[in-house]
Amino acid sequence: MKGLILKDFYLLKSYGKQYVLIFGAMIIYALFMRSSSFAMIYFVLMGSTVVLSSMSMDEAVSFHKFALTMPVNLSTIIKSKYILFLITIGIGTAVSILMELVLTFVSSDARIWISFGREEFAATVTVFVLANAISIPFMFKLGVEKARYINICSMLAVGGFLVISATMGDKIGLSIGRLDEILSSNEFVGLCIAIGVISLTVSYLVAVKIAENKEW
Amino acid sequence: MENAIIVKNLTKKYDGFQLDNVSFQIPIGSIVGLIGENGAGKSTVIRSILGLMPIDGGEVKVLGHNVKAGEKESSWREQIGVVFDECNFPHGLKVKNIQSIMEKIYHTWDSDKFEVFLKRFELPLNKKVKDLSKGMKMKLSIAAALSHDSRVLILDEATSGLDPVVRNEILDIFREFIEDGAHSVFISSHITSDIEKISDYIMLIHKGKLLLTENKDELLYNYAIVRCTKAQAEMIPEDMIVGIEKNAFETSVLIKDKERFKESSFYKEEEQKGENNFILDRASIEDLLLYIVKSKLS
Repeated sequence: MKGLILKDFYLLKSYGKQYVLIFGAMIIYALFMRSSSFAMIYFVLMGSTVVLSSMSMDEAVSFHKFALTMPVNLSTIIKSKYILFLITIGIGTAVSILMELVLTFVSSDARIWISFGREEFAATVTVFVLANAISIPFMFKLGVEKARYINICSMLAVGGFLVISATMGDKIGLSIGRLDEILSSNEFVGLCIAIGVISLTVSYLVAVKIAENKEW
Repeated sequence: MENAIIVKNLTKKYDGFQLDNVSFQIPIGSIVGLIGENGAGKSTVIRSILGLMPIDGGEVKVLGHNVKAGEKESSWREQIGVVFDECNFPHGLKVKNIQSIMEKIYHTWDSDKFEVFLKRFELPLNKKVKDLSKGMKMKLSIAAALSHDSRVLILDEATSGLDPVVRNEILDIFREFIEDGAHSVFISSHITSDIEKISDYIMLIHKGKLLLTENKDELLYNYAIVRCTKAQAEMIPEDMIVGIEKNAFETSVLIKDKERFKESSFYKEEEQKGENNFILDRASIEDLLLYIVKSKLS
């Protein structure tokens, strides 16, 4: 497992300069727009898509077939991808929060910053987690390129559902936007984490089942 | 003699192709070559041996371990080294990264051995895989396959696409690998000259059926190509004929028992008459493949 994750990080490192460049550009954009929201979403998005890039690089050289000739079993290979996803989305989330803290700290008037609330940010991260929970099993079933489209569609579907529910549902009194009336901020974040954990667990089990029937 | 790999009645069905009750053994201390044209089933056999796909029937044992696709047990793979027809290390990795990765995957990884191979193959540590030539990539794969406690080396078309110099260098390493009598090599290739150079045993697969499994030296000694006229070819008993090739000028017959052929009455009669126009040529492994496949096709 360690070796597989290390391999992904070595590959990630080879794109290090690009990541630093994007990070810098996003900071400048946030400063210029006096809004950290877009940059925050972008960092989480970047973190969440690393697993797709890593799978793509593996797929290009049939690495998984090769890895299965080593003392590594199928579930370990799949688990390593989920762990990579958790690490990179974790880094993306941490960088977002750190950027938010630093920018509001250095800014003379933090109030004029347009930024996410805790709940909105937690919901955004959950959308990315759900989209990847849906698309990762498809990477093993259909390959990375098709799974990339599924990932985008899942993000749009889950995100769209939340936005529509939050805005339209108000009218009939069943809105997600009114969750704050029944859940505290901490409870909402907890709910998001629970959704993330459950969706990734189910996703992992489905991915293992798919991969077991696959010919490598 | 103990066997490193035992395959019994291996069956795998696809639409339009079937691996049909394939059975063979790879003795410890030997190099066994699997030949066959593209699509004959060589890679399917190898993938089945490695447990990379579920099989429809039969049994595969590698170093005593019963191989099953998708199994949780993977420690037995510590003792096998595998090289496919392409380098499977992601292109963004540097050669030195592979060292760090593999030592975390294999308990028996030998860094010193890997470094010796890198020096021998002149593989630069700081170069990325994508910047290596095809030959260097294959050498890197072979170095990785040999730098842990591998007792069996399984190679699927590992020499294809390489120039003769690199191929020869790689074949030398395989010979060294089995020198102590405790290691084995199973190599599939459609480059029959490579198989002829290094193998102790030859297996020929065609359309999913194993047509031939024999000791290479016996094979090369027993089989021969008889060049003769059409009328003379008709005198050769059918049970001696493996394949026939006819053209307007001559008929060539691949026979499987050269000595029996020389002892046969029709051959002796021709000799006594002093009109023996039978020309006996050595049959190469490539000839065997061509004649057998051609005879099966016709």
